[in-house]
Amino acid sequence: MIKFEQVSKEYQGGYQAIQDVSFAISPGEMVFLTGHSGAGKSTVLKLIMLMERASSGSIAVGDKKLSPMGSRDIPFHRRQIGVVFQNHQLLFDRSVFDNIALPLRICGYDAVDAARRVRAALDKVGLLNREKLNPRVLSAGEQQRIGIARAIVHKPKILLADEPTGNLDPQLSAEVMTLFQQFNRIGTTVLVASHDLSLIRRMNCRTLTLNNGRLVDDV
Amino acid sequence: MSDLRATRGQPKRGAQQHVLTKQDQRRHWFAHHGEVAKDCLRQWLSAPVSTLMTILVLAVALALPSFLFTSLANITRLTSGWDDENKISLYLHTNLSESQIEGFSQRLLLRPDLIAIDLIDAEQGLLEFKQYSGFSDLLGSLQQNPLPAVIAVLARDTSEQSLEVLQQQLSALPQVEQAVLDLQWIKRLNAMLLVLERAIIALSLLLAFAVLLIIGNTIRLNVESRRDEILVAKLMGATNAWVRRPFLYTGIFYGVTAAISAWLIIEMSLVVMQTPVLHLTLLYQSNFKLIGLGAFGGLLLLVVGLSLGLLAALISVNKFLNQLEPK
Ligand SMILES: Nc1ncnc2c1ncn2[C@@H]1O[C@H](COP(=O)(O)OP(=O)(O)OP(=O)(O)O)[C@@H](O)[C@H]1O
Ligand SMILES: [Mg+2]
Repeated sequence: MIKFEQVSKEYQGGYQAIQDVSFAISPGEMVFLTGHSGAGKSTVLKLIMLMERASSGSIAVGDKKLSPMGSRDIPFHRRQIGVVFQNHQLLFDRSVFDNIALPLRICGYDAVDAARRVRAALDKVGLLNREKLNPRVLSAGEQQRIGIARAIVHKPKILLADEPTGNLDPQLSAEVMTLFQQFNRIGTTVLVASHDLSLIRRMNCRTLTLNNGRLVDDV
Repeated sequence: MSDLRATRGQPKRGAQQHVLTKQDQRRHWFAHHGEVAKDCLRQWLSAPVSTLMTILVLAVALALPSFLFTSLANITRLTSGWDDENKISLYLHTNLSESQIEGFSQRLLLRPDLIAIDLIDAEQGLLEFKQYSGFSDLLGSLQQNPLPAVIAVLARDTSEQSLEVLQQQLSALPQVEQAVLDLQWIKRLNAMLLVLERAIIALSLLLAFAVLLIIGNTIRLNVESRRDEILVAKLMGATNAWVRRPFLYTGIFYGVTAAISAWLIIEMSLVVMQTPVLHLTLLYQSNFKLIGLGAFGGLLLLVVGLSLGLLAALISVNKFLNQLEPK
């Protein structure tokens, strides 16, 4: 589903964020990506999202190579991916409901269908009674869960999560992970970047470890 | 290791992703247009004063060249009736007898460089003058006719040079007191109008550019204020067209409303000018009437406004969207 072949990324200014990274994630797999801060975890996710392009090497998602994709293909590539951002990126000019409905509006669901799906997603993250609030007033942990609801609301084939448990207490972290596991069970490919090592160990999943931009471990 | 790992090799079932049909997509496209239009309207209503000010500035910028073009069209129409530029009027000495004048005009007829000759004798001249000048009472009190006989001739060669040569030749004739190239000033006026037209075109281009800048800048501020929304939407898979749509609507709105306001400004100023112009034309016994922009001019103004708005919005949004392309 996701395949990296000797991928390197050099940011403008010459900083080598990742070097010579190769791995493959098959459909329906759940994988963790770990490493110290600045190791390049977010960079890997950004490359998959086509927020950045690889400097060298090749990346394929769902059997499609990313390098030839132009601005016309990128939207459709991104629609099959749900992302939980490191800094959740919620919009504070609209309600929780409208935030979660945004991906559905972009894909073109009709309002009734969209409302049903938004409520289902909110229910999954346990925040159904918050739909009318502005996300600004929510706690950091609640905001993070809204971000998760938004990432899963359109049932993407791939779920990427960048530090999804950063602001959560251990119990909520465990709940979020269980949620990801549920998604994984119905066939979604899940890739979670995290440095919460104890949580990763408990999850017992395949783990990719980055160190200074190089893939040092894959177990 | 775990039962989870064991599922890795299994064939994928895939989450039930919603698959959109072509029909769904078309409906979505229309729905989104409606939504966006409503959204734009709401935005303008939320800041009516600043929106109105912008529209007014744009309207003036659009109205000025349109007004100048309309005026030019009116002047050109006014002068287009006077096209016998090759006419020379010969004012004869007043001491010539009628038979002398008759003979002189006969001889003129034989000249190959003239194509027509029209004798207006002194009596006829006085009659016409009384009729058109409004001085009939004053003229009636005169003992004798002060007007000379006039022969109007049309030159065969209409070039300015040969006309001047001919005028000199004719004025040298002993019977002629004065030979006047009647409508040379029309020629000069026409040349001046041509220069004026060029100046107006240049000014119009300048003002069109100003309109482009004003709308472009308004849209740019608009885009900046919705920066986060655009970034997030793009990451969720919004197409550039989807992101652009509300801003294009805004651009078109500004262009079209400005064009309509400009049209109103012009038509209103024409209405104000209509009465004095009518008065003037009555004095000159002309049936000249002011023309406005007309249907074609109005349509043109609308199309220009719309295209400028659209173009400005496109440039502004595309500049921003290009920054978001992955590198
Ligand atoms: N746009 C950019 N331009 C230049 N350098 C960048 C850019 N984005 C990231 N980097 C650098 O690349 C390196 C890897 O960044 P990345 O965000 O992938 O790390 P990370 O593993 O996600 O760290 P963290 O756990 O703190 O989120 C960092 O040293 C960072 O400074
Ligand atoms: Mg990161």
